[in-house]
Amino acid sequence: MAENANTNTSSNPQKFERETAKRVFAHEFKGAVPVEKLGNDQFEPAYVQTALGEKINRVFVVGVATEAEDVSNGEVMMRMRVADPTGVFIVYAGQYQPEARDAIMNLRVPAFVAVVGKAHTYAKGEQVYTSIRAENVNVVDEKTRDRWVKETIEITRERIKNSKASDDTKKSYEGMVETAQKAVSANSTTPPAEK
Amino acid sequence: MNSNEISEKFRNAGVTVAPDRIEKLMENYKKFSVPQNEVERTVMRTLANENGIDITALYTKTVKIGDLKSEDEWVTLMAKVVQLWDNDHEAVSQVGLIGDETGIVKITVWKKAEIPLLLEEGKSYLFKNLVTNKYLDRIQVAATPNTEIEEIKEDIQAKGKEVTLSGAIVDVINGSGLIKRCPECKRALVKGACGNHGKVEGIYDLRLKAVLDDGKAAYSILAQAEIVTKLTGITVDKAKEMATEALDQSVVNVEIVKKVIGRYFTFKCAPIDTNYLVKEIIEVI
Ligand SMILES: [Zn+2]
Repeated sequence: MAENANTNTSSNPQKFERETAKRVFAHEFKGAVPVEKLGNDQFEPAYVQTALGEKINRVFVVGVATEAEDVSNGEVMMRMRVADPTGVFIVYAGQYQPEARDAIMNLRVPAFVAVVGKAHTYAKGEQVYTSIRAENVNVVDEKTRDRWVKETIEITRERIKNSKASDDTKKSYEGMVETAQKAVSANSTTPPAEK
Repeated sequence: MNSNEISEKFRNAGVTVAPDRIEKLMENYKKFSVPQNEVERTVMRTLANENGIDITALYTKTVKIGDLKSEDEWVTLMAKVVQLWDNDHEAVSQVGLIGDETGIVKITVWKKAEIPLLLEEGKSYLFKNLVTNKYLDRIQVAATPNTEIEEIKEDIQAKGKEVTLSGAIVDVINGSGLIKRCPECKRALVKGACGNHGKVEGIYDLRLKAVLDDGKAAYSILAQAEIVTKLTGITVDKAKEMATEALDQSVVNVEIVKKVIGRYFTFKCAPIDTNYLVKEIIEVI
């Protein structure tokens, strides 16, 4: 038997056990691939891994919902497209996410939305499709979106810095961050709302 | 400890023992070459028995919460009840948090302690002879049959080691929104019944249990009615109205969820076990 007792999961017992909602731009998320599970534990969380090496189970994204539609096919399912400055997230909510599903159903696009959910992948032939299985969906405002973009720029820059990816890969993601940066800089000409 | 110090200890426990009487008792042990602390202990036990007081009452130290370190110590605290929690344990009368100017600590009042009063949030008390214990490396205190609790007039300022947390609220946990508490012990009622007092006419309260996430870590946060109102504009009265109108308590939760999910907040919080109690809202985006 392999000596692999130290799996790094027994963190400080005081820590609140919950998967952090990672911040990731749509462009990086889209290229993520599923991470194979280590064991047979059905409760082991599922992860996807991005080209920069970030392992993601849960995500938090804020963007513009551009489309929301009922794609029920035997089972109830809502699908929503959420755009950030770099691309589009595909978001699903089904029978096990009734609150998120209702929120999408009641949405009038376009709208600023915040989405909390689990990263999901679906393989079709050679192609891997990533999506978010929503846990919570809420309508927010532009300020929240801008804050999310700024935060995600910061986190992504740090991720690029620490990434073991090739220089070419890093360079292409630096370009993605630039694009996001331009989008919020363009927005920052609007005066901040008074408190 | 010399005889004067021992005498002082008894005086603190409300019993007068002359120092020369103590010296005389100590003298008896001299010839046996017993270690000094064992002599002290034996003498104190003898005098405690004579005067009908509990020995633990003599060993207790009046301390500050921030100085609590070791377990199995008898301590006396002056502290304010910061929060009382729901408690499902039959053997427990009340559980919650007490604080002074140096920190906050979890307290468990065991039923067998037979404390004649019920603690109330926001009130300050003198807790005589609590016993310390450790759970997951964190110090806690408990009221046992040796404990006495009395309300005091001073308003103790409960200041935990506060931390500032910033992030987005990504989840609202069950048990948030409009709840009913037992008028006597403040426990949250389950199906209209209190674990201690059975079916009671509950008092309405508002609370929020949520997850604040900064992309690096997730924090479990708790907020009491005052903070919930500031965050959502919903007062306890308004929440009651909403629930009455909809004939459903959960409408309040739905409204809270709409107000907080996906939004960014900066809170000043007091860490408690694995949770963070929101003390102040610093920023809302
Ligand atoms: Zn009760």
